[in-house]
Amino acid sequence: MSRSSRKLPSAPRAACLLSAGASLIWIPQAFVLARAVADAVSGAAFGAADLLVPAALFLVLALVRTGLDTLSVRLAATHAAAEKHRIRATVAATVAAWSPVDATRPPVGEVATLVGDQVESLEPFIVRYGPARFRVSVVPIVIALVVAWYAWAAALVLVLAFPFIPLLTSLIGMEARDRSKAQLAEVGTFTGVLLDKLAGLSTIRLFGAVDRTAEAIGTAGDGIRRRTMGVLALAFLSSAVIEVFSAIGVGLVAIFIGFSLLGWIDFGVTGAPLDLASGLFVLLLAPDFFQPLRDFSAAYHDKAAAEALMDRHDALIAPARPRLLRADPAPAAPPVVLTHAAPAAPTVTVHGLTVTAPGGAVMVADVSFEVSPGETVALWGPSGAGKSTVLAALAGLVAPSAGTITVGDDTLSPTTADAIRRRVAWIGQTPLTLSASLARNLTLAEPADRGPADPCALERAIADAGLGAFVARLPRGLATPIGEAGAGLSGGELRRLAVARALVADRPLVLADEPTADLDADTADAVRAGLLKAAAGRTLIVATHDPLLARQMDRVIRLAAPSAPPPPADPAAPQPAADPAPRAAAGRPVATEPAKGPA
Amino acid sequence: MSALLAVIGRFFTYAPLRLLAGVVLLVLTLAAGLGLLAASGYLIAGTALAGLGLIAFDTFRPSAAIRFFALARTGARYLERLVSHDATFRVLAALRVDVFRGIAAAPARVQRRSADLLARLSGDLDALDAVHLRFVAPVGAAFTALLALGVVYALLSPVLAVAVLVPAVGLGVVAPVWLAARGRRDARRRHHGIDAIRRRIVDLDRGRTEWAVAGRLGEAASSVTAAADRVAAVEARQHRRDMAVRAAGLLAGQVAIVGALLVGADLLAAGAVSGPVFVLIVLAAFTVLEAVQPLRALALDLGRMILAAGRIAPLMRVGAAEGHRSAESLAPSIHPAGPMAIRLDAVTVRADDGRPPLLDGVSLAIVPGERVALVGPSGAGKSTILAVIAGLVPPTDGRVDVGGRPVVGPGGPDGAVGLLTQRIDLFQGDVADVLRLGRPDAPDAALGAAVTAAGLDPVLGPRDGLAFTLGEGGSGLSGGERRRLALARLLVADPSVVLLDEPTDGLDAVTADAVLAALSNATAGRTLVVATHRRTEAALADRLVSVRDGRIVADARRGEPAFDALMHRLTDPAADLAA
Repeated sequence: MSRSSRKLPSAPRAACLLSAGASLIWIPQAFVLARAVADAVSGAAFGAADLLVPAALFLVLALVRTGLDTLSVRLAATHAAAEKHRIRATVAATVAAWSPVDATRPPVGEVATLVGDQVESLEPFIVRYGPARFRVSVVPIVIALVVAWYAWAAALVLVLAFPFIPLLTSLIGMEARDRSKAQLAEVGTFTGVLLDKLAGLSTIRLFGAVDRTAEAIGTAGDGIRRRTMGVLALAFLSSAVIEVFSAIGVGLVAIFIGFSLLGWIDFGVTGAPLDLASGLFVLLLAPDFFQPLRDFSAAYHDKAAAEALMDRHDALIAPARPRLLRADPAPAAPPVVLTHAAPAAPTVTVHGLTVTAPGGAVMVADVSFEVSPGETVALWGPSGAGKSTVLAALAGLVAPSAGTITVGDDTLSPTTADAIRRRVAWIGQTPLTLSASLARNLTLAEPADRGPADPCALERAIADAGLGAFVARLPRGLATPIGEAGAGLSGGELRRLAVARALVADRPLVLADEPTADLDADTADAVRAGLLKAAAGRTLIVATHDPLLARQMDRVIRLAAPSAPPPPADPAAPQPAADPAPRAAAGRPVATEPAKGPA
Repeated sequence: MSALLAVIGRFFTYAPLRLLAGVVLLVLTLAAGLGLLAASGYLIAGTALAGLGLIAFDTFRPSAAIRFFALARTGARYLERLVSHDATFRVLAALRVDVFRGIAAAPARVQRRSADLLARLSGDLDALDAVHLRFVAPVGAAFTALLALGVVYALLSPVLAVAVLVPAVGLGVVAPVWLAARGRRDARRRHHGIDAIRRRIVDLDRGRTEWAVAGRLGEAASSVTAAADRVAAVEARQHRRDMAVRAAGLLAGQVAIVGALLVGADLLAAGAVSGPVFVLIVLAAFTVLEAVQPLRALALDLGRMILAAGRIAPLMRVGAAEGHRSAESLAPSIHPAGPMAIRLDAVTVRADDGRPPLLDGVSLAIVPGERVALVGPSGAGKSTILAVIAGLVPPTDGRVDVGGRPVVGPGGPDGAVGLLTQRIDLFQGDVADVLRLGRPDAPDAALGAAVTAAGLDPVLGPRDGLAFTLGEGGSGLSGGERRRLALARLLVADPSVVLLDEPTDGLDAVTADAVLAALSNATAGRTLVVATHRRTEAALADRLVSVRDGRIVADARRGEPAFDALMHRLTDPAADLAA
């Protein structure tokens, strides 16, 4: 907790000073008011007409006070907005640099919650907590000094009623902890219970259990309420303590002043004996002596929320992870000039490629192979052999810890990665879809500001990917909107969309990661056919478990698992019997043999 | 705004007395605060005059009042917090029940968009949770306290009441609420902006390979920043409004004090009140400051609450109506016995977006006890046929009967149809809770038998058996274990018709074998329909029905040559190699 509290962004100093200033203006206001009231009571002023000057002065001070207060809030709020924006931008930049092969990267839902919602807890922390904390360290002292100027005994009463701040803050801290404990009570929250059931609503409907489940939600809510109230009843006590001290303090000051005005008490006065004006003045100051502490207590849990945010941020964003190869970590789009004269199919050379995760786990160990221009190659091997990682390394999607990769004339490095990637078309298992037209989804590889794509090229790509019949049945053809996360598309259609996208992109090197996994026979046929079309005149490297696909390649490159212990079983892993080339020796690190041709 | 009022109205039907008690206690807290300050002022003024020998003054009553108010204020405040929080929590629990019923009763079209709904739901509910504590209670208490103050002032002088109440109510209550309500468009914009940040970071993460290869990763990252920029711009506007609200609230108290001072001075000069009462009048105006202070934070909250209420109120209304309906008709379902026939007559299912129908005039007759596999490529309509039989998707045209009775709702007639969906939904709770979802009165013996039939004994044995507790969403089990637990749950419900949707998809070979073996055992003596593209799953069936583009294109029974031909076309890597 103390570790992260040092890194918490604080409220701007000016906002704190202004807010304390606004509180302290009450001192001259109270002085003016007390004097005016005393004058009226003693008959020195007669009626409203005689009080216009102090009334105007009081109002002017009120305006200044209001101005200072709003300015303070404005400064703090602007600062908070900037801090939130900064965190959102740096998280986006960090997330953008993570490598796709890193299976340990946090679930994106958590990152989205962090930058969407949790970041918001910075605002109350900066706007309320920071200034309140500053006020509590300044305002009571100043007021106590002013009170002491008139009556040291009254100041003493206040200071005694204000038990040592450390004691109180620890009481408040206990309340804050109790509160968060109440919120995180083991059975979860009111909303958590509801979301748990809603996530499986269709199952509940199928089992005819809607009414029973509604009842269960009510019962669970009741339990949460009872447990939470048990904790809160205790937690609220600590703020009641502050209330008691503050009320008793004000009351004692009033009684002291009253008795001293009557002359029943003749000690505790600093200078001249108290009169009505000075007595009222001291009385008016007394509640504001305690107000900062009450504000601080109300804002205290803002700090816990902000700390929880920073801890979450550190846990999700800070750890070192495999990164993409990029020359420039800043999220700036390089001006991409795409010449559509397709460059020739490149040679791909991999030499001694080793990829190590930051934790030290070896993902790929010392892999070497060469792929000739226009060749089609399958990367084959058990799950955990690093097929997908090799493929990702070829596109600069993960930084190798040793070895070199050459594509055409370029050796892969942070500076060449972008240029090399511009020659790559990628076919993944779960292609990204945007909520935009089908045509826009097909031309994802083009920058957004490029004009509309050539419709003929799109039609051809769609036909080659085996999506022709699907698109023909769409009401608006290529203009049909596709939902987020591929809504309205089946898994097989999505996979063919990825193939069509690669065909549209028309890049000389095609990389495909398990393009036929988990597909039915017909769809897998269509994807294989599309891949071969995409491979015409291009270099194709495909990581696969699919024996039919591997057989259609020019060559199979076998990868062995990098090291003992054996990796955990992959649910999608084929059984050993599924080896496309049982004749080949399963040698480490790599064996290659032709797959095509007469058996 | 009317939606927000509806939500507030709902709050007060759930826990009317408790919520009112909370407001009353809040008013008492304010009154005690007023009493403390006023009694103190009265004492000081009185003693000052008495000290000068001008009047005789009894110090006993004001100092007793000071002690009383000091303690009363603390006590009222503490009780208020307890009562208000307890009432609010009661409402929150009831509100969630309503929302659940509301979503459960919503048309399928709404439910399909539920990912969106769910993503917002928790934020919306959080915003509404604060409706009482941060809006209704402080506004109600401020109004009541100010009204009471006004009555007391009016007894002394109507002018005094006007001088204090007009600035207090106008600047302190009306202006903040009005300004805050005007902010609801910005609240909506900000909310959409934060949605965009969330969505774009998800797009960035899911599509990072595609973005990187396309050379557009930077673009994708800056689109997140662009959404954050928009949010910051909206927030700047909101902050200006927030400042205005704060300023109005702060000025309200100060102007009221000046009003009390000037009018009070005239009353004093006219001899209508005494000196101590004059001081009391001025200090009583301080209540305005304290009463309107909680409203100063309203600018940011109210817009958000109005937005959330707009989305939640319709669900809440439907849910509340559903709650009444179900309370009236909680008839126990008659449990059907024996396998049942399924009959589809020219069933067409059309999505509402103009695309080709998902099912196009499908007719299919399945006799009791028959075991049928629906085969065909992905997107052919296999899952839709299962959903139609299970009553999850109503046919646009045509008719579906199970056991000779029409299917009108989920689960078929009297819950005769059980569907093992592709995605397994489990819930928080122990295994016994999970298993009893369909039949709450199932005896432990029935649960044990289902667990054994689903092959779960080796999984649950070493843990706590039926008492093993699952986390949120049923976490704590592997994929294969979840599927078998869902199967056991289906068996406890004891449906006459069992529908399976790709029951071993995504499982490794060993687990798939275990699940298939369990399925084969457990579904004996029931009508079975399985949707699949795997040979291993289709082997459960004695009849293959081939579906393509929403139509049935082939239908063959075991023993016919067409059966083997269809079987041969299904995916099976090991068999492909052998061929």
